[in-house]
Amino acid sequence: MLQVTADVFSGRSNPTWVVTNEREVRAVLREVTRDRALVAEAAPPEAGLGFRGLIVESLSDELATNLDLQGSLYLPIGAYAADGRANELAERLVSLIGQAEPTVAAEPDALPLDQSLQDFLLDQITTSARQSVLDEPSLVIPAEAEAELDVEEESFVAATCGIELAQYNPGFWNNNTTIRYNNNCYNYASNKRTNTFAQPGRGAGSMYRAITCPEVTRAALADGLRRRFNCFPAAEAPRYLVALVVAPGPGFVDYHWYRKVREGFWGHKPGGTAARNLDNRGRIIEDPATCDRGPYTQFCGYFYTCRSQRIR
Amino acid sequence: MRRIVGIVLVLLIVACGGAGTSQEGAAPMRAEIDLYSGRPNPNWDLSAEEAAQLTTRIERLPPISSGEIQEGLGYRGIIVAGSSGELRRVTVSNGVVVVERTGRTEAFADTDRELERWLFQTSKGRIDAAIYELVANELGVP
Repeated sequence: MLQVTADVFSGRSNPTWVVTNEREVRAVLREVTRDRALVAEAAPPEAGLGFRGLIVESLSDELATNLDLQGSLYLPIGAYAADGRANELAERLVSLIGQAEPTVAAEPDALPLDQSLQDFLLDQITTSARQSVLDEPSLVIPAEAEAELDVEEESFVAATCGIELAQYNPGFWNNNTTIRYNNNCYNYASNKRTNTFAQPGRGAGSMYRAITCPEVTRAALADGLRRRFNCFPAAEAPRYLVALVVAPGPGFVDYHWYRKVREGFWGHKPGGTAARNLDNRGRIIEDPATCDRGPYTQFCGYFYTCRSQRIR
Repeated sequence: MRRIVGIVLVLLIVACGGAGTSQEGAAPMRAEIDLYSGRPNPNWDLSAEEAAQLTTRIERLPPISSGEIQEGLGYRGIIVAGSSGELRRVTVSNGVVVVERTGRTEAFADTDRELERWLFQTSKGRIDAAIYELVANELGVP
Protein backbone atom coordinates (compact mmCIF):
# COMPACT_ATOMS: atom_id res chain seq x y z
CA MET A 1 0.00 0.00 0.00
CA LEU A 2 1.09 3.48 -0.76
CA GLN A 3 0.06 6.65 1.05
CA VAL A 4 0.00 9.79 -1.06
CA THR A 5 -0.42 13.32 0.27
CA ALA A 6 -0.97 16.30 -1.98
CA ASP A 7 1.11 19.22 -0.68
CA VAL A 8 -1.34 21.84 -1.85
CA PHE A 9 -2.96 23.74 0.99
CA SER A 10 -1.54 26.25 3.40
CA GLY A 11 -4.18 26.49 6.12
CA ARG A 12 -6.34 23.35 6.00
CA SER A 13 -5.17 19.74 6.06
CA ASN A 14 -3.69 18.39 2.87
CA PRO A 15 -5.65 15.58 1.15
CA THR A 16 -4.19 12.12 1.78
CA TRP A 17 -5.21 8.87 0.13
CA VAL A 18 -4.06 5.28 0.33
CA VAL A 19 -3.58 3.36 -2.90
CA THR A 20 -4.26 -0.33 -2.38
CA ASN A 21 -3.96 -1.59 -5.95
CA GLU A 22 -0.68 -3.46 -5.57
CA ARG A 23 0.09 -3.67 -9.27
CA GLU A 24 -0.40 0.06 -9.73
CA VAL A 25 1.62 0.82 -6.61
CA ARG A 26 4.59 -1.19 -7.86
CA ALA A 27 4.39 0.32 -11.35
CA VAL A 28 4.38 3.88 -10.01
CA LEU A 29 7.11 3.21 -7.49
CA ARG A 30 9.29 1.61 -10.13
CA GLU A 31 8.97 4.79 -12.19
CA VAL A 32 9.84 6.94 -9.20
CA THR A 33 12.80 4.87 -8.10
CA ARG A 34 14.10 4.43 -11.66
CA ASP A 35 14.79 8.13 -11.97
CA ARG A 36 15.76 9.56 -8.62
CA ALA A 37 16.23 12.98 -10.20
CA LEU A 38 12.44 13.31 -10.19
CA VAL A 39 12.20 13.14 -6.41
CA ALA A 40 13.49 15.10 -3.44
CA GLU A 41 13.49 14.54 0.30
CA ALA A 42 11.26 17.52 0.99
CA ALA A 43 9.47 20.41 -0.68
CA PRO A 44 11.79 22.80 -2.53
CA PRO A 45 12.70 25.65 -0.14
CA GLU A 46 11.61 28.24 -2.69
CA ALA A 47 8.16 26.61 -3.08
CA GLY A 48 5.39 29.06 -2.35
CA LEU A 49 1.63 28.66 -2.38
CA GLY A 50 -0.27 26.25 -4.59
CA PHE A 51 0.25 22.61 -5.53
CA ARG A 52 3.92 22.06 -4.76
CA GLY A 53 4.23 18.29 -4.91
CA LEU A 54 3.22 14.87 -3.62
CA ILE A 55 4.52 13.13 -0.51
CA VAL A 56 4.74 9.42 -1.29
CA GLU A 57 5.17 6.86 1.51
CA SER A 58 5.21 3.10 1.43
CA LEU A 59 2.98 1.50 4.07
CA SER A 60 4.69 -1.85 3.69
CA ASP A 61 8.26 -2.64 4.70
CA GLU A 62 8.43 -5.38 2.05
CA LEU A 63 7.62 -2.89 -0.71
CA ALA A 64 10.03 -0.33 0.69
CA THR A 65 12.86 -2.86 0.76
CA ASN A 66 12.23 -4.31 -2.71
CA LEU A 67 12.18 -0.91 -4.32
CA ASP A 68 14.77 0.72 -2.11
CA LEU A 69 12.23 3.22 -0.86
CA GLN A 70 13.17 4.25 2.63
CA GLY A 71 10.94 6.68 4.51
CA SER A 72 9.02 9.04 2.28
CA LEU A 73 9.71 10.67 -1.05
CA TYR A 74 8.73 14.11 -2.21
CA LEU A 75 7.73 14.45 -5.86
CA PRO A 76 7.96 18.14 -6.79
CA ILE A 77 5.51 19.08 -9.52
CA GLY A 78 4.50 22.02 -11.67
CA ALA A 79 7.01 24.83 -11.54
CA TYR A 80 9.25 22.75 -9.25
CA ALA A 81 9.16 19.51 -11.28
CA ALA A 82 12.46 18.05 -12.53
CA ASP A 83 10.79 17.62 -15.93
CA GLY A 84 7.48 16.72 -17.58
CA ARG A 85 7.66 13.10 -16.35
CA ALA A 86 7.17 14.25 -12.76
CA ASN A 87 3.86 15.84 -13.72
CA GLU A 88 2.85 12.68 -15.61
CA LEU A 89 3.53 10.60 -12.49
CA ALA A 90 1.64 13.06 -10.32
CA GLU A 91 -1.35 12.85 -12.69
CA ARG A 92 -1.22 9.07 -12.44
CA LEU A 93 -1.21 9.13 -8.63
CA VAL A 94 -4.00 11.71 -8.46
CA SER A 95 -6.07 9.67 -10.93
CA LEU A 96 -6.04 6.81 -8.41
CA ILE A 97 -8.05 8.85 -5.90
CA GLY A 98 -11.30 7.33 -7.18
CA GLN A 99 -10.21 3.80 -6.16
CA ALA A 100 -8.19 4.85 -3.09
CA GLU A 101 -9.06 4.64 0.59
CA PRO A 102 -8.79 7.46 3.13
CA THR A 103 -5.93 7.29 5.58
CA VAL A 104 -6.89 6.05 9.04
CA ALA A 105 -5.38 9.21 10.48
CA ALA A 106 -7.50 11.54 8.35
CA GLU A 107 -7.98 15.00 9.86
CA PRO A 108 -11.57 16.17 10.52
CA ASP A 109 -11.25 18.98 7.96
CA ALA A 110 -9.88 16.67 5.24
CA LEU A 111 -11.70 16.92 1.92
CA PRO A 112 -13.62 13.82 0.77
CA LEU A 113 -11.76 11.64 -1.74
CA ASP A 114 -14.16 12.24 -4.59
CA GLN A 115 -14.22 13.26 -8.23
CA SER A 116 -14.21 16.98 -7.47
CA LEU A 117 -11.00 16.66 -5.43
CA GLN A 118 -9.42 14.63 -8.22
CA ASP A 119 -10.46 17.21 -10.85
CA PHE A 120 -9.21 20.06 -8.69
CA LEU A 121 -5.78 18.47 -8.22
CA LEU A 122 -5.43 17.50 -11.90
CA ASP A 123 -6.27 21.08 -12.86
CA GLN A 124 -3.70 22.34 -10.37
CA ILE A 125 -1.01 20.12 -11.91
CA THR A 126 -1.75 21.52 -15.34
CA THR A 127 -1.80 25.15 -14.29
CA SER A 128 1.16 24.88 -11.91
CA ALA A 129 3.30 23.54 -14.76
CA ARG A 130 2.90 26.99 -16.25
CA GLN A 131 4.43 30.12 -14.95
CA SER A 132 2.73 33.48 -15.24
CA VAL A 133 5.18 36.26 -16.00
CA LEU A 134 5.10 39.82 -17.21
CA ASP A 135 6.05 40.40 -20.82
CA GLU A 136 7.78 43.75 -20.74
CA PRO A 137 8.36 46.14 -23.64
CA SER A 138 12.11 46.05 -22.98
CA LEU A 139 12.15 42.66 -24.70
CA VAL A 140 11.20 44.16 -28.05
CA ILE A 141 12.36 42.94 -31.43
CA PRO A 142 16.10 43.34 -32.08
CA ALA A 143 16.90 46.04 -34.64
CA GLU A 144 18.15 43.60 -37.28
CA ALA A 145 14.93 41.58 -37.06
CA GLU A 146 12.78 44.69 -37.05
CA ALA A 147 14.32 45.67 -40.37
CA GLU A 148 13.06 42.35 -41.81
CA LEU A 149 9.49 42.94 -40.73
CA ASP A 150 7.14 42.59 -43.63
CA VAL A 151 3.99 43.46 -41.78
CA GLU A 152 2.08 46.66 -41.42
CA GLU A 153 2.35 46.70 -37.65
CA GLU A 154 -0.57 48.12 -35.78
CA SER A 155 0.87 50.41 -33.19
CA PHE A 156 0.12 49.54 -29.60
CA VAL A 157 1.09 51.61 -26.66
CA ALA A 158 3.97 49.73 -25.08
CA ALA A 159 2.29 47.81 -22.29
CA THR A 160 3.34 45.19 -19.79
CA CYS A 161 1.21 42.13 -20.41
CA GLY A 162 0.68 39.06 -18.28
CA ILE A 163 1.58 35.86 -20.16
CA GLU A 164 2.16 32.21 -19.32
CA LEU A 165 5.22 30.09 -20.01
CA ALA A 166 4.68 26.32 -20.05
CA GLN A 167 7.34 23.79 -19.20
CA TYR A 168 9.30 22.47 -22.21
CA ASN A 169 7.75 19.05 -22.72
CA PRO A 170 8.68 17.68 -26.16
CA GLY A 171 7.67 14.14 -25.16
CA PHE A 172 4.01 15.19 -25.26
CA TRP A 173 4.39 15.82 -29.01
CA ASN A 174 7.05 13.26 -29.92
CA ASN A 175 6.44 10.00 -28.09
CA ASN A 176 3.34 9.00 -30.02
CA THR A 177 3.87 8.81 -33.80
CA THR A 178 0.24 9.66 -34.59
CA ILE A 179 0.40 12.82 -32.45
CA ARG A 180 3.79 13.76 -33.87
CA TYR A 181 2.73 13.29 -37.47
CA ASN A 182 -0.67 15.03 -37.26
CA ASN A 183 0.28 18.21 -35.38
CA ASN A 184 2.37 21.00 -36.83
CA CYS A 185 4.10 24.21 -35.76
CA TYR A 186 0.79 26.06 -35.30
CA ASN A 187 -0.47 23.31 -32.96
CA TYR A 188 2.78 23.42 -30.99
CA ALA A 189 2.89 27.21 -30.73
CA SER A 190 -0.75 27.29 -29.62
CA ASN A 191 -0.07 24.34 -27.29
CA LYS A 192 -3.28 22.79 -28.55
CA ARG A 193 -3.19 19.29 -29.97
CA THR A 194 -5.92 18.89 -32.58
CA ASN A 195 -4.43 16.09 -34.73
CA THR A 196 -5.60 18.09 -37.77
CA PHE A 197 -2.32 19.71 -38.86
CA ALA A 198 -3.96 23.01 -37.89
CA GLN A 199 -3.93 25.99 -40.22
CA PRO A 200 -4.13 29.66 -39.21
CA GLY A 201 -7.62 31.01 -39.86
CA ARG A 202 -9.27 27.65 -40.44
CA GLY A 203 -10.76 27.61 -36.93
CA ALA A 204 -12.38 30.99 -37.59
CA GLY A 205 -13.44 30.04 -41.11
CA SER A 206 -11.06 32.60 -42.56
CA MET A 207 -7.95 30.77 -43.69
CA TYR A 208 -5.00 32.56 -45.25
CA ARG A 209 -5.23 33.11 -48.99
CA ALA A 210 -1.51 33.53 -49.55
CA ILE A 211 1.56 32.67 -47.56
CA THR A 212 2.86 36.11 -46.72
CA CYS A 213 3.43 37.77 -43.36
CA PRO A 214 0.36 40.03 -43.61
CA GLU A 215 -1.97 37.25 -44.78
CA VAL A 216 -0.93 34.55 -42.28
CA THR A 217 -1.01 37.23 -39.58
CA ARG A 218 -4.56 38.20 -40.59
CA ALA A 219 -5.66 34.56 -40.43
CA ALA A 220 -4.06 34.01 -37.01
CA LEU A 221 -5.67 37.16 -35.63
CA ALA A 222 -9.01 35.88 -36.93
CA ASP A 223 -8.46 32.73 -34.84
CA GLY A 224 -8.15 34.99 -31.80
CA LEU A 225 -4.43 35.68 -31.46
CA ARG A 226 -3.26 39.21 -30.68
CA ARG A 227 -0.11 41.08 -31.53
CA ARG A 228 2.41 41.34 -28.73
CA PHE A 229 1.66 44.03 -26.12
CA ASN A 230 -2.01 44.04 -27.01
CA CYS A 231 -2.72 42.39 -23.67
CA PHE A 232 -5.22 39.62 -22.98
CA PRO A 233 -7.02 39.58 -19.61
CA ALA A 234 -6.04 36.89 -17.07
CA ALA A 235 -9.23 35.00 -17.91
CA GLU A 236 -7.67 34.21 -21.29
CA ALA A 237 -4.74 32.32 -19.70
CA PRO A 238 -2.81 30.44 -20.91
CA ARG A 239 -1.53 33.33 -23.02
CA TYR A 240 1.61 32.07 -24.72
CA LEU A 241 4.18 34.26 -26.45
CA VAL A 242 4.67 32.99 -30.01
CA ALA A 243 6.46 34.15 -33.14
CA LEU A 244 5.59 33.84 -36.81
CA VAL A 245 8.08 33.54 -39.68
CA VAL A 246 7.62 32.98 -43.39
CA ALA A 247 9.65 31.30 -46.13
CA PRO A 248 8.94 33.65 -49.05
CA GLY A 249 10.29 31.50 -51.87
CA PRO A 250 10.85 31.36 -54.75
CA GLY A 251 9.94 27.69 -54.76
CA PHE A 252 9.88 27.15 -51.04
CA VAL A 253 6.87 29.02 -49.65
CA ASP A 254 5.65 28.21 -46.14
CA TYR A 255 5.13 29.64 -42.65
CA HIS A 256 6.43 28.54 -39.25
CA TRP A 257 5.72 29.29 -35.57
CA TYR A 258 7.77 29.22 -32.35
CA ARG A 259 6.64 29.35 -28.68
CA LYS A 260 8.56 30.65 -25.68
CA VAL A 261 8.79 28.12 -22.81
CA ARG A 262 9.41 28.37 -19.09
CA GLU A 263 13.07 27.42 -19.32
CA GLY A 264 13.71 30.69 -21.16
CA PHE A 265 14.36 29.34 -24.63
CA TRP A 266 11.91 28.79 -27.48
CA GLY A 267 10.46 25.52 -28.74
CA HIS A 268 9.09 24.67 -32.16
CA LYS A 269 7.82 21.73 -34.16
CA PRO A 270 8.79 21.58 -37.85
CA GLY A 271 5.72 20.05 -39.52
CA GLY A 272 5.10 16.42 -38.64
CA THR A 273 8.57 15.98 -37.15
CA ALA A 274 9.67 16.11 -33.52
CA ALA A 275 9.25 19.17 -31.31
CA ARG A 276 12.64 20.63 -30.45
CA ASN A 277 14.43 23.68 -29.06
CA LEU A 278 17.28 23.87 -31.58
CA ASP A 279 17.68 26.02 -34.66
CA ASN A 280 19.06 24.90 -38.02
CA ARG A 281 22.62 25.22 -36.71
CA GLY A 282 21.85 23.05 -33.72
CA ARG A 283 21.86 25.96 -31.27
CA ILE A 284 19.30 26.41 -28.50
CA ILE A 285 16.83 29.05 -29.65
CA GLU A 286 17.27 32.17 -27.54
CA ASP A 287 15.19 34.31 -29.88
CA PRO A 288 13.36 33.24 -33.05
CA ALA A 289 14.02 36.66 -34.57
CA THR A 290 17.74 35.99 -34.73
CA CYS A 291 18.13 32.17 -34.82
CA ASP A 292 18.98 30.16 -37.95
CA ARG A 293 15.62 29.52 -39.61
CA GLY A 294 16.80 28.04 -42.91
CA PRO A 295 14.51 29.19 -45.70
CA TYR A 296 12.11 30.99 -43.31
CA THR A 297 13.89 34.30 -43.73
CA GLN A 298 11.04 36.73 -43.06
CA PHE A 299 10.29 37.50 -39.43
CA CYS A 300 6.63 38.54 -39.15
CA GLY A 301 6.44 39.40 -35.45
CA TYR A 302 5.48 38.20 -31.99
CA PHE A 303 1.93 37.36 -30.89
CA TYR A 304 -0.03 36.05 -27.92
CA THR A 305 -2.27 32.99 -28.06
CA CYS A 306 -5.24 32.68 -25.71
CA ARG A 307 -7.64 30.24 -24.12
CA SER A 308 -10.48 31.10 -26.51
CA GLN A 309 -8.34 30.67 -29.64
CA ARG A 310 -10.21 28.85 -32.36
CA ILE A 311 -7.93 26.29 -33.93
CA ARG A 312 -8.64 23.54 -36.40
CA MET B 1 19.57 19.24 -37.37
CA ARG B 2 19.85 15.53 -37.22
CA ARG B 3 18.41 13.01 -34.85
CA ILE B 4 19.98 9.69 -33.96
CA VAL B 5 17.51 6.90 -34.38
CA GLY B 6 18.11 3.67 -32.47
CA ILE B 7 17.38 0.47 -34.32
CA VAL B 8 15.11 -0.72 -31.58
CA LEU B 9 12.86 2.28 -31.64
CA VAL B 10 9.55 2.35 -29.93
CA LEU B 11 7.60 -0.79 -30.63
CA LEU B 12 4.43 0.29 -32.26
CA ILE B 13 1.52 -1.19 -30.47
CA VAL B 14 -1.08 -1.36 -33.15
CA ALA B 15 -4.01 -3.66 -32.83
CA CYS B 16 -4.15 -6.28 -35.55
CA GLY B 17 -7.39 -5.66 -37.36
CA GLY B 18 -7.08 -8.51 -39.82
CA ALA B 19 -6.05 -6.14 -42.60
CA GLY B 20 -2.76 -7.89 -43.20
CA THR B 21 -1.69 -8.70 -46.71
CA SER B 22 0.96 -10.96 -48.05
CA GLN B 23 1.62 -8.49 -50.87
CA GLU B 24 2.24 -5.33 -48.91
CA GLY B 25 3.90 -3.73 -51.97
CA ALA B 26 0.56 -3.80 -53.75
CA ALA B 27 -1.18 -1.84 -51.00
CA PRO B 28 -1.99 1.82 -51.75
CA MET B 29 0.88 4.06 -50.74
CA ARG B 30 1.14 7.83 -50.58
CA ALA B 31 4.50 9.53 -50.71
CA GLU B 32 5.27 13.04 -49.51
CA ILE B 33 8.26 15.35 -49.64
CA ASP B 34 8.99 16.16 -46.00
CA LEU B 35 9.56 19.84 -46.60
CA TYR B 36 7.14 22.18 -44.90
CA SER B 37 6.34 23.07 -41.32
CA GLY B 38 2.97 24.79 -41.48
CA ARG B 39 1.46 23.70 -44.80
CA PRO B 40 0.77 20.08 -45.64
CA ASN B 41 3.69 18.55 -47.53
CA PRO B 42 3.54 18.04 -51.33
CA ASN B 43 2.36 14.48 -51.91
CA TRP B 44 1.58 11.98 -54.64
CA ASP B 45 0.29 8.42 -54.86
CA LEU B 46 2.67 5.64 -55.84
CA SER B 47 1.40 3.32 -58.53
CA ALA B 48 1.03 -0.35 -57.61
CA GLU B 49 4.17 -1.07 -59.58
CA GLU B 50 6.15 1.67 -57.79
CA ALA B 51 4.88 0.49 -54.41
CA ALA B 52 5.97 -3.06 -55.15
CA GLN B 53 9.33 -1.81 -56.35
CA LEU B 54 9.78 0.22 -53.16
CA THR B 55 9.20 -2.91 -51.07
CA THR B 56 11.70 -4.87 -53.14
CA ARG B 57 14.29 -2.11 -52.89
CA ILE B 58 13.89 -1.92 -49.12
CA GLU B 59 14.38 -5.68 -48.81
CA ARG B 60 17.79 -5.32 -50.48
CA LEU B 61 19.05 -2.61 -48.07
CA PRO B 62 21.58 -3.51 -45.36
CA PRO B 63 20.18 -3.15 -41.83
CA ILE B 64 21.90 -0.71 -39.48
CA SER B 65 21.79 -0.25 -35.74
CA SER B 66 21.56 3.53 -35.80
CA GLY B 67 21.52 6.46 -38.17
CA GLU B 68 20.71 10.13 -38.35
CA ILE B 69 17.62 11.39 -40.08
CA GLN B 70 17.42 15.03 -41.08
CA GLU B 71 15.49 17.32 -38.76
CA GLY B 72 14.82 21.04 -38.60
CA LEU B 73 13.45 23.49 -41.15
CA GLY B 74 13.72 22.87 -44.90
CA TYR B 75 13.97 19.67 -46.94
CA ARG B 76 14.24 16.64 -44.66
CA GLY B 77 13.50 13.61 -46.83
CA ILE B 78 10.64 11.56 -48.20
CA ILE B 79 7.92 9.77 -46.23
CA VAL B 80 5.76 6.97 -47.60
CA ALA B 81 2.67 5.91 -45.71
CA GLY B 82 0.86 2.66 -46.35
CA SER B 83 -2.89 2.77 -46.01
CA SER B 84 -3.24 -0.95 -45.40
CA GLY B 85 -1.13 -3.96 -44.71
CA GLU B 86 1.74 -4.45 -42.32
CA LEU B 87 3.86 -1.57 -43.62
CA ARG B 88 2.84 1.62 -41.81
CA ARG B 89 5.42 4.23 -42.73
CA VAL B 90 8.78 4.51 -44.47
CA THR B 91 11.02 7.53 -43.83
CA VAL B 92 13.89 8.01 -46.26
CA SER B 93 16.25 10.73 -45.08
CA ASN B 94 19.92 11.55 -45.14
CA GLY B 95 21.11 8.05 -46.10
CA VAL B 96 18.86 6.30 -43.59
CA VAL B 97 15.63 4.39 -44.16
CA VAL B 98 13.35 3.88 -41.15
CA VAL B 99 10.64 1.29 -41.77
CA GLU B 100 7.74 1.18 -39.34
CA ARG B 101 5.72 -2.01 -39.55
CA THR B 102 2.95 -3.18 -37.29
CA GLY B 103 4.70 -4.02 -34.05
CA ARG B 104 8.28 -3.24 -35.05
CA THR B 105 10.57 -0.57 -36.45
CA GLU B 106 13.78 -1.21 -38.39
CA ALA B 107 16.47 0.97 -39.92
CA PHE B 108 18.51 0.43 -43.08
CA ALA B 109 21.37 2.20 -44.84
CA ASP B 110 20.50 4.07 -48.03
CA THR B 111 23.98 4.21 -49.50
CA ASP B 112 24.56 7.32 -51.62
CA ARG B 113 20.88 8.14 -51.01
CA GLU B 114 19.99 5.94 -53.97
CA LEU B 115 16.54 4.99 -52.68
CA GLU B 116 15.77 8.63 -51.79
CA ARG B 117 16.64 9.77 -55.34
CA TRP B 118 14.64 6.99 -56.98
CA LEU B 119 11.64 7.67 -54.79
CA PHE B 120 11.87 11.40 -55.40
CA GLN B 121 11.93 10.93 -59.16
CA THR B 122 8.58 9.15 -59.03
CA SER B 123 7.13 12.57 -58.09
CA LYS B 124 8.04 14.12 -61.43
CA GLY B 125 4.97 15.61 -63.09
CA ARG B 126 2.91 14.81 -59.98
CA ILE B 127 3.99 17.71 -57.76
CA ASP B 128 4.54 21.41 -58.35
CA ALA B 129 7.38 21.90 -60.86
CA ALA B 130 9.10 24.58 -58.72
CA ILE B 131 9.18 22.23 -55.73
CA TYR B 132 10.49 19.41 -57.90
CA GLU B 133 13.31 21.61 -59.13
CA LEU B 134 14.15 22.79 -55.62
CA VAL B 135 14.48 19.28 -54.21
CA ALA B 136 16.15 17.97 -57.37
CA ASN B 137 18.91 20.53 -56.85
CA GLU B 138 19.29 19.45 -53.23
CA LEU B 139 19.52 15.76 -54.15
CA GLY B 140 21.65 16.31 -57.26
CA VAL B 141 18.99 14.80 -59.50
CA PRO B 142 19.26 16.05 -63.10
